Amino acid sequence: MTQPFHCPAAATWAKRIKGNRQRSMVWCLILLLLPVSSGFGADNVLQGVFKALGIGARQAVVRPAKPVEIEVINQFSPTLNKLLDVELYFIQKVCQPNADQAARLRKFGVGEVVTLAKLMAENQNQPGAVDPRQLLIKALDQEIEKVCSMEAAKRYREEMSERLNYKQAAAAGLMLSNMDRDLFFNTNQAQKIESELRKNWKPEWSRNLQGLMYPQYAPWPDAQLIQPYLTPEQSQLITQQNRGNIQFGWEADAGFNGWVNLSNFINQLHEVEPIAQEQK
Amino acid sequence: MRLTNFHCACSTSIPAIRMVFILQTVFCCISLLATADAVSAQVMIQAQDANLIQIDDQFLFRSVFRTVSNESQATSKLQSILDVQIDQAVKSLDLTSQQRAKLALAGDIDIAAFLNELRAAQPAKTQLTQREWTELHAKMQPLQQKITVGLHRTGSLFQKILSTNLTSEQLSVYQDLEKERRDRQYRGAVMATISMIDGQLPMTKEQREQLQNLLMTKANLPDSMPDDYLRVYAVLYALSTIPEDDLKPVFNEKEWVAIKQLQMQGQSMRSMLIQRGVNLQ
Repeated sequence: MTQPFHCPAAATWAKRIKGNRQRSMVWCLILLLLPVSSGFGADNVLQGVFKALGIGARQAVVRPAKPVEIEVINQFSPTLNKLLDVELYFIQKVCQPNADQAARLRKFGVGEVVTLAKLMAENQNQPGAVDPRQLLIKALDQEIEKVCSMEAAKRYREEMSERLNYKQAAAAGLMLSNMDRDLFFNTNQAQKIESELRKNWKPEWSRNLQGLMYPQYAPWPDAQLIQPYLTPEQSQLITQQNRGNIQFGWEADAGFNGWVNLSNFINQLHEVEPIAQEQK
Repeated sequence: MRLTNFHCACSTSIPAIRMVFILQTVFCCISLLATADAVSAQVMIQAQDANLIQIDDQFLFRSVFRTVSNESQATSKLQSILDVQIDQAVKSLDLTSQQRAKLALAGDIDIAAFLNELRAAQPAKTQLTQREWTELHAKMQPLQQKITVGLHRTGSLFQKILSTNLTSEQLSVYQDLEKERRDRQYRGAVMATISMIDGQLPMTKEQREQLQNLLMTKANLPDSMPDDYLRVYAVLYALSTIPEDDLKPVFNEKEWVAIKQLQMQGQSMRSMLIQRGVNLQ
């Protein structure tokens, strides 16, 4: 029998290679696990390997400078600024402030826009929770008292009250027309129901008149409110009503819808200053 | 010695690292291919959806009436509206039982004719191509319009019987009632449109009153005001028909430019309003 060839040097190399194989397997495992343990996905596994090995450039750390607040303000401010311009124009018409008073009112209004933007952001998951126009009007009303004369403040309050009453009357008229469409009111019924609506008015009915333009989805008063004035046939019909609901978003609620678009006019009222700069 | 060992370790590990990268690349490719496959499958589903639109046999009833879900509910709603309309006519006009019976029959015929029209428009199949879907929409529009305006209103058999079977006194009362109703509708639509303008161009009480007065007396409002959002367009169109000499003094120079813009918008609505069945004078 021939003895197998035995070379001590070859045996040493064979052991070394065997050892190297084991080491390479360990390396493989480490390299596979490192990116995973470092939170790297399949798409950036190489980056993970290099990072784990301490190779490659460090990633730049982006630290946003108060981004949330500015983003929030910028999200809502374009429309709120338009709203401010419209309401300041109304003040200018009614109160006729001098340049200094107008500047003070604008400065106050710009601050209110920031406050409103934050409020809108906080409540953006609750549609209709905030009525920015009403809040702005209320805040401006209080500031006019401080900035302008008593007569001007009184004039503003009266005109504003007329304006809101008009909108409410318009909404009540639309509501009545929508009901009349199926219920065929006689004169007496129409008068009594309209009066009942005005007495028991809910502000959300007149916030956005757009919704009242779709009779199938428009808000209706509670049946108890109008039932005393209805015939049995009319009462039966309103109990059968299956009403939908329609929403147009906060900008439309604030009075900026596509049906009546006066953007050119509003843009002329004031060149909108970026609120973020104003903040600085 | 250390150097040699290090060299050996590296020389044997580098192919292993390469293997790892190759394996990872293969896995990545497989996963990318799988994702691409899923995306293409999705696109195919969407494409199928885009090509064939699924509807059911009650689709037209839901679409035309919007707040009912089937034919039985639609029939019941139309019948209830007819009952109210007849009841109100009986009370206001003091109708005889014979007049009432004729009106009820005419109303029933209107309902039956409308439901037949609706059934005829309902496609026989439940999957429609894009073209069939467009055709269906074209058929649906006049049907929706009839419901929006009121089935027993202008052009219906009910109205014909009502106007031909009334005595002269009854007819006079009826015309007065209709005029009052129309005025209420005009006033609601006019005030709502003014209020919408007021949201962007705030007016004083005096300006609003003047504008409302001009719209109610000097503008061409339609014969009958639409019941939906077309009301706003009809009033904007009416605004465009007010003579400049009457309208311009209500506003200052800056505001007048904005009102002119609204008038142009109103004029551009004319053909659409006519197309949608609004009778402009």
